[in-house]
Amino acid sequence: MSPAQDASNGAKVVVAMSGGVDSSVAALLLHEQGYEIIGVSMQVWDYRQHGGCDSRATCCAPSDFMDARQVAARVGVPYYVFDFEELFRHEVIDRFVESYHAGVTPNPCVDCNNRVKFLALRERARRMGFYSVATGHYAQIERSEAGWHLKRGQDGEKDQSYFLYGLRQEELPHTLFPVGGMTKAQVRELAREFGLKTAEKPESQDVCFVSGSVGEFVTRIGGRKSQGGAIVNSQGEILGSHEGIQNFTVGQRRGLGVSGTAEPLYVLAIDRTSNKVTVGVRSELERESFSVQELNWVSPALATAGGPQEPIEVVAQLRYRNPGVRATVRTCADGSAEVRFLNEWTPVTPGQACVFYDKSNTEVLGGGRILSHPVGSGLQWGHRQGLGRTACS
Amino acid sequence: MDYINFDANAGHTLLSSVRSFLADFDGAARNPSSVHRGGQAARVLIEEARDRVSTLLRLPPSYRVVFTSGATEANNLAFYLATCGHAAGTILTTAVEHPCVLASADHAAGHGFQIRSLTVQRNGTLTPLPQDIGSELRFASLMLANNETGHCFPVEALARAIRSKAPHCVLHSDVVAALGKMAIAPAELRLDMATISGHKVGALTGVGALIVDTTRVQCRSLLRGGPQELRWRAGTENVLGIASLGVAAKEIHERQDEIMKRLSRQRRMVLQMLEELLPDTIVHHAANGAIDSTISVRVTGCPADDLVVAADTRGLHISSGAACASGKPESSHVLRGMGFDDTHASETIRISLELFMDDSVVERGMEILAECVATMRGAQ
Ligand SMILES: Cc1ncc(COP(=O)(O)O)c(C=O)c1O
Repeated sequence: MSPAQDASNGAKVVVAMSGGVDSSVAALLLHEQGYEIIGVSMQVWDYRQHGGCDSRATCCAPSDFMDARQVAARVGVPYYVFDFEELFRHEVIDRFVESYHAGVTPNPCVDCNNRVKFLALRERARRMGFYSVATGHYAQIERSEAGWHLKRGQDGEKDQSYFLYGLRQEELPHTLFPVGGMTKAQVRELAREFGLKTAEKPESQDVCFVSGSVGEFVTRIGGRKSQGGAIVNSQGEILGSHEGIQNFTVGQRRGLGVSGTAEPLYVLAIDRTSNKVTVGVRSELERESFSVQELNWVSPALATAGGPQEPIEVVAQLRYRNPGVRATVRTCADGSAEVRFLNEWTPVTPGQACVFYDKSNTEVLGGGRILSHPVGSGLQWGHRQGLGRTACS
Repeated sequence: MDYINFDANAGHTLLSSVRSFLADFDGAARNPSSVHRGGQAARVLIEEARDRVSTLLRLPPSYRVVFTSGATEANNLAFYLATCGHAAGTILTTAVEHPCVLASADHAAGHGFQIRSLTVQRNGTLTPLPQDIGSELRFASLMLANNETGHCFPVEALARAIRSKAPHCVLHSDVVAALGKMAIAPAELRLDMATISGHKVGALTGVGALIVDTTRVQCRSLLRGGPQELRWRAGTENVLGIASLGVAAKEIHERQDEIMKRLSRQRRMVLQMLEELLPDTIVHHAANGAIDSTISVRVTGCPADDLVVAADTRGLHISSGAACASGKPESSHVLRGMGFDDTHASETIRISLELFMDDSVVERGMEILAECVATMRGAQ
């Protein structure tokens, strides 16, 4: 099958339409470029049943589908709703809830992309003869002699390549990000020009299915009673108590419920067995290295090599919208990768995606999920002062 | 846009006579209750439509056509007329009725009525009338043909049997799916009430009617308001919709034989093409016969929801069962009620032909369907 990047080969494309302005314009652009497209919204969560964000500006709620439907009609393309509720529950929600119960901070957008949008949707569209998937993500795909390259979006503010590191070489030719080369302002301008009703629609929040607090959601959907525990410092002294580890994320500063310290406190570690949350000052968050698992190597060379066998220098981004920091990465025999900060460091949150960019910080080389602390070892692990050992050394 | 409609049970293309009627409509302000000539003209349109529907359904003078906003309202009204003023009693229906009948039955159950439901077997046979049905039976609502499978039910025989056991029972049938595909005469079927819908027979959407034997059913309006429709239905009449239903009724009446001959031939065509092009499909045949326009078929290994989309992208309108208002697919209560499992139901599509279609169009539609199935299977 020929790549979809060129409309002239008659590529049939399914556009995932969330009801937001970005995917609206994605559909508009592809249609204008002469692709044969269908717009599809993914029914992933029953907002009426589970509560959620129907009343707010989000994505994938029933009112968003109405917007998407109207945009599709305006653009002049067919539009359908595909039901992925069961799959989403299993692949995204359950993992989300499980992670929090394990004291790990999940990244549901990555899961949704990897397991639903670019897998199940792609598969379903393929059966209908639509071999490519387009979304409104701010990221770019380029081709070279060597293969296909995934790059940051043109608009540095909006770049979403962080969530897309799971794309594989063979998928890139059949993936389109029509707004990746535009700024958000340009996207809105275009939407306005074509009278799309989503032109002024506010941004969606990151976790589309959670309204209110994550902790409350995890407790309610997980159906488990939340168990309180102690908040301790790195010396093990009890500073306070908490109502459940699902309310915490490593690196988090606000809402710890501990006061009276001179310096602000951060969550350093979460221990699911003892239900202890360890807090400390910012410098205690510092790590020299850490491990990443469930890796995908995107760039042609690394995809072929199965990752860097020798340490290579990269820009590692450990959180959406955080600036990356210089680091080295190399793969280990067990399939994980070891990342070492070169000079600056940034908090390492188990469960979050760590995405590797090339030295110029534009191309996605690969990425994975930050490994959780070995149970109970908390601070010792990979800590610069603690002489801890990383998962592979 | 050019498309082939194999989803006429959800919505029928406007008949040519309806289209030319609408094109000629002068657009004058019209309220049939007005005294002036504008009102008179509207009144004439409505009464003409009533006559035409009465002619199509061969209604004796005691029967009145009460125009409604559609079959949903008509079925709701039927339940209301039959149960209002009665504290309790038994209601008989089938498990495969349209949701508006099932929901009306549920509502009545909440008000003290006992609901008994005839189930349907896999071959389309309705379970026999329970032996213990007696004079406590207040109301029976039994559809003439099912909109998803096309299967016909022996409503006349049931009506006779019910009459002999419960002489005061009010008999109703939703004949929406059957209308146009065969000659229907509610009075000859021993029915007291019958429901029809406009957009299923090439009239406008948003109009329907309840046929009522005024000697057997007391006049009441579900909506509170003015004395329209001789107090059977309050609210200013949907003049254009009603007129369109009249025009469609007239055309169908004049061409009923031709329609029936064509549909019977086209059914054989569809079945034969299914056998040739898609030999591994399973047709839901009916022991008691079916309306010729409708064929329910399982395409093993092809999720119907996907097949519907694939077909649409190739210009064929078809559906996986009843039209889904929520946008969220749910497996058919009709097929599940017949004892088919969820997989079977999720792989079942409904071919429902229009009343006036060229053989070549039907043929082309079947070819597109086969192409879609081939694509879907090839991709697996
Ligand atoms: C058998 C049957 N009854 C009732 C209805 C409801 O009709 P309406 O949309 O006119 O309310 C339908 C429409 O799908 C139908 O098929």
